[in-house]
Amino acid sequence: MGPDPGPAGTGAADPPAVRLEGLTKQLRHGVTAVDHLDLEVPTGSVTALLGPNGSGKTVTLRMLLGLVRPTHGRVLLFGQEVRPGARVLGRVGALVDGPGFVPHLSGRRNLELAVRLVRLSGGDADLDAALAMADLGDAADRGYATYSHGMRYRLAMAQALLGSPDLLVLDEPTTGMDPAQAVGVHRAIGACAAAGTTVVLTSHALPEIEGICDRAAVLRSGRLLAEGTIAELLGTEPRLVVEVDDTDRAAAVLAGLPGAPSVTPVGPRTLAVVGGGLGTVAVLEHLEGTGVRVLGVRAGNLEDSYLALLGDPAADPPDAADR
Amino acid sequence: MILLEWYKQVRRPRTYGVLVVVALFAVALTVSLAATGPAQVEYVGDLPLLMVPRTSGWSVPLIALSSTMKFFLPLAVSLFAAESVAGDAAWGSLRYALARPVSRARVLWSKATVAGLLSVASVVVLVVAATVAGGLAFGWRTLDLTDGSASTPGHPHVAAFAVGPLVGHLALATLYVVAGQASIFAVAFFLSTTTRRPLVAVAGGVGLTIVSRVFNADYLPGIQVVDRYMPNNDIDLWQHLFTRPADLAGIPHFLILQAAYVVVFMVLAHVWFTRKDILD
Repeated sequence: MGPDPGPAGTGAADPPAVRLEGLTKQLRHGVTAVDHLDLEVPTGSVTALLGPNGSGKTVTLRMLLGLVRPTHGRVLLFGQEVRPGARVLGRVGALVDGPGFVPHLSGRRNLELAVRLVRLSGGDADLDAALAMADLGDAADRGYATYSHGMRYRLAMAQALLGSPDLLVLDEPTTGMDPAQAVGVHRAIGACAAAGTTVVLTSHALPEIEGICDRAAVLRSGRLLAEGTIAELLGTEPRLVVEVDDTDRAAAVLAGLPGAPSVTPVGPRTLAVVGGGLGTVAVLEHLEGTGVRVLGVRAGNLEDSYLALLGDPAADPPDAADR
Repeated sequence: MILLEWYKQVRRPRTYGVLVVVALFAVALTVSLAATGPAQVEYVGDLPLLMVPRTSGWSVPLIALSSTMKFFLPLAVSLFAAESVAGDAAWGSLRYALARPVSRARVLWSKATVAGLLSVASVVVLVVAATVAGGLAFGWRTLDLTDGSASTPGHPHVAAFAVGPLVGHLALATLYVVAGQASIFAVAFFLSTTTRRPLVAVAGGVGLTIVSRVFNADYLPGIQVVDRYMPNNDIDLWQHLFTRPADLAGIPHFLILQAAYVVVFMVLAHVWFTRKDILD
């Protein structure tokens, strides 16, 4: 925990770990990065912010950390409003836009600087725990500039976890990692969640999100498109994803069936089919009976739900900044 | 906070690289003067001060200050000022410092303090290295200085400075040159808060000295009005400390001008940095 924690937020009456109220950020040149975003992240949850590039995820995370000032609205962490340098930020660990360390200092020295900057009460114990988590071995005393991509990310994760924060904010924490390293990060997130830490993260790896998160919010053009538990986003009705040789014809066939299932393109040759009480066999029979060649069929997942929510990506307005 | 910033900067190869280069310049200058003929007269600065370097090692710090105050030292000062905020932003470490419960003002002024101390160090290292190198090469003896502006053929205005007064006047001259870099420091530091490219801020600091020299009434008498407000044009007035009688009339205006630049650009840096969005 940080050096000067506010009131603990674990009881039922306590405020949520994160509350965004009408959060809006207008960047220069009239670009609205985040647009009246209302969202609550329950304490102890692992919540993903999803959305295409430019949907406002990173700007939202930066407003959570007091790095960016909202144009309108506000961010509350554990009931306390976030401003630059706010005390409540002592309860937050972060990895945003990749690692950022002093290149001529070693990993150990960089973590020492972080410990001293906020005067963490754990001192050397926090430092030792972070170094163990970074798993740098002898490289801990080598210059940061010599580190590999994976070592830099591990060090950044270790820095984010310094002092066991109550809220962990992670922006694409497994970017560029090999599968083994990504699994290590997933385990660290799981351990944090098990210890009661609230985690807010962004990622484009939706299978990863499905595996480690219990909630998600989908943003598009800075607006909230959907939010809820992963199960809610997957939908209560079974979702079937079929790969066909002619999506237009297949969509017309399926939409004309009794029960009028919802049919949404989720890829160049794939359709998500929801509702209508149709089983796999019925779908296959109807498609093949009308001459549509079925290349594959599987149960739907979060990625399909996400793509169905976003609809046609070409409908997104062009984004002028990294949002 | 200041100690943390100091620790980061003094361990940086570029920091001691700049200070080593400044010291090596003083040594190279001494070697060059030693290699020149024994009775060679040097015309130092815009005044000019006339001296025979090999008669006293105290000549070397005066020549070193004079030859570096308009470009070399501004470059060193601009580097320290520019790297302080923009360097941290370029490394990506600035956003992690600012995502902590630490006031932005504290972060900024810690950086300003350390960059300022390193800037002062660059001038002091130059003078100390030149004094040591000059003394070892030519001895720390009384120095005869001729006021080139007041001398006429057959009537040179010569002032002989013993070691004691020389040390005092050299200390004052060093302080004056330090003060003369303050405007450049403030401009480069402000620019450093607006960019994550340190070279942009370095270019701003050095560019200011170039603009200052362009708008110099010594070369273009028609721009006298603008010349008074250029930050670097009167930085050579310390040379009057080594004439008799000393004409110090322009020094208060110059120091007030430096203070004005510092106040304006450091306030701008504070306002900008404490309100800016950290988007990169």
